[in-house]
Amino acid sequence: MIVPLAHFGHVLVDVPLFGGPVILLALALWYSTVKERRRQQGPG
Amino acid sequence: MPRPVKRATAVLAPIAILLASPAPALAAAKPAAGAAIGQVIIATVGAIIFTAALLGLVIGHRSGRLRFTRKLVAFSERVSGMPNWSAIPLSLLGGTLLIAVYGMYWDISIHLDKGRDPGPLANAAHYFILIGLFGVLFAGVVAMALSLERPSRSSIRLPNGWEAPLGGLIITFCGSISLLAFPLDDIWHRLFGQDVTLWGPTHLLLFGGASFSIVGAWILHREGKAASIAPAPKVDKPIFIARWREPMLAGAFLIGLSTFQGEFDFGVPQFRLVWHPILLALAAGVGLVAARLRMGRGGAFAALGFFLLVRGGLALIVGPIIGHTTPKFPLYIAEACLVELVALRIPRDRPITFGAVAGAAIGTVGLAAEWGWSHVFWTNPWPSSLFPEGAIAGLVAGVAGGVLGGFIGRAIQGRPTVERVPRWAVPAAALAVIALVAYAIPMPTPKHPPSATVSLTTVKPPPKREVQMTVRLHPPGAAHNARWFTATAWQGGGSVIQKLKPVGPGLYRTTKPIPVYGNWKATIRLQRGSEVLGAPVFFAADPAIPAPAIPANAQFTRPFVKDKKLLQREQKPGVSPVLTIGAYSAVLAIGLFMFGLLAWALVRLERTLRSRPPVEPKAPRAPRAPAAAREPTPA
Repeated sequence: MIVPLAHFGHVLVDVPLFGGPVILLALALWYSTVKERRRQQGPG
Repeated sequence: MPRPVKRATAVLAPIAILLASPAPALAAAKPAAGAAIGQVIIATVGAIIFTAALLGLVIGHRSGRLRFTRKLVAFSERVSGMPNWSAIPLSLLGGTLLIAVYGMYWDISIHLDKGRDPGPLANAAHYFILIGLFGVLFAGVVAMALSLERPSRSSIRLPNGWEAPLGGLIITFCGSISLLAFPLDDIWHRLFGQDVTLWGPTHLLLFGGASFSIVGAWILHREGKAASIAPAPKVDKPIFIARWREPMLAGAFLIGLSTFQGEFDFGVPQFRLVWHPILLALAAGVGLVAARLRMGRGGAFAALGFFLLVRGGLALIVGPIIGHTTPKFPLYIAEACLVELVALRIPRDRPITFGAVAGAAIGTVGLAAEWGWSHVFWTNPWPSSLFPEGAIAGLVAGVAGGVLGGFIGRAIQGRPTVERVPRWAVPAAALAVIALVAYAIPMPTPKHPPSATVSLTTVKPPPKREVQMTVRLHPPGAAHNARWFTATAWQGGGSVIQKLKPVGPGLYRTTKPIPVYGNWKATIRLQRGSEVLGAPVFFAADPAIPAPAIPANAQFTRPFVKDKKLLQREQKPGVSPVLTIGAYSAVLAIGLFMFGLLAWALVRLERTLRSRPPVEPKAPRAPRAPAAAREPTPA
């Protein structure tokens, strides 16, 4: 089965394959930043 | 379930669903040119597994629960004599960049010989690029994640509390640029059509990011050796790679800088020939000057040795062994000799002056040597008509490259300097490079283009028809002082490029048969002045673009058109100029930001190393410390 994509059809492959790790790592960094801020602010 | 795994799952699961969801949605659509669903699934699953593994390792290591990473950390320090946050990523990066560069040259040769791929994962070379570029990102993230305390005096505190080595940050950024360039490339294809050239804007980001990650690696190496806060680890059993790490870094940088010459290495450049001496002088100026400054006597030769080993090996594997078009490469031997000779007169404590003088030597004598080499080895030798344009542009590029190489070398050597150079010297060199680019880019089409009357003599009958061509130019002097005037056939299963032989006024002949069947694309290519033109001989119909067939009749007269129209038939016509300017500006901004970040990192490293006398981590005497753990002797 062929998925109709960009001009020669890479986009759906390339976004998760190449962009995915970068996006996930950026999200992980953002998540750990929020956690760090919460930790510094303390329970109160 | 262990807590780190729970955390990783919490982050990954929703994103995995988001990333995977478009596949089934589009899979139901009407089939057309695109990617096979199997490839989409493989890609999505592969990316998720890779990223999950990476995040799992990072979280596990930082929580102290992974015994495996603790062992690896201890082992790396024991065998390298360097902090783990420097030694492990550098080893990773070295291996993965080798894989990536092999994939890159193999991939280019495949496209040159066979045209575009039937699918994104249909070409084996793509897997090498994929693994290599993942490795670059992986190395950067590992460098940032390994250190639980402040690793070096130049490290950066991230918002999440991590103390990231400066080099790790740069590698991560460059790796991200490289990876993100792939989806950007697809968006580019969607907007403008596929650009079948190495120098597509997003292609430049793709391999430029990987190439300049080596600057990050060099910074990381210096941080580990000269700016580390913790005392140097004890060397138990030094390994081979530790001894050769610095020459390999310098050589890898030269290889990275030389990847930009790829258009010329494969013999089908789509840009003016003047680019070749410009790029060559720039690469030699930046790479060899920086290597000599960092490593001292013999540094330029060490970088050259690694360059020749890798590029020679790649040429051998891709060409004679695999059977594709051989990627040619510059020799840089004369340039390395010149850099070493200049260094005998100008000491390393005057890096910018040294760079400028060495660059001037590269831009003159060095280019003269490469001119000779071009007639021995390259597909498109440098003709006399390239003089004086190539000589002037090459000299400017050599000096600018030398000054920039001096700037890089000054930062990574971290030694006190005595020279007083104007503050604008380095920015002026960067501006000179930009000016050269602005000069060499335009490729106008003449108002009254020349034409060619071509007679074909069939020397091999169909179905695999091959012809000899006789070409009569109108006007007869149209190819006078041409930079190249060739018959070129490619993408039909190989490449045939030959200089057309003059046999009379305005009359030329081929000397070898040209294939005109199947998927071969045969053209007559003419580069003169700033024009890059082409006249089609044979093109098969390409319904996917769509583009009509251009038959190879026994005789025809066709005008020369912009060569790009023939070599990049996939490009879409009539795209809004606003969109074009916007897209080019966005890519340019990413590129400039990357260079700005590199410059900032180098300045920061230099200031750190100079903030007190550089104290190298002392390795124990027994057994003997590796050469790489000692400062190179000054020239």
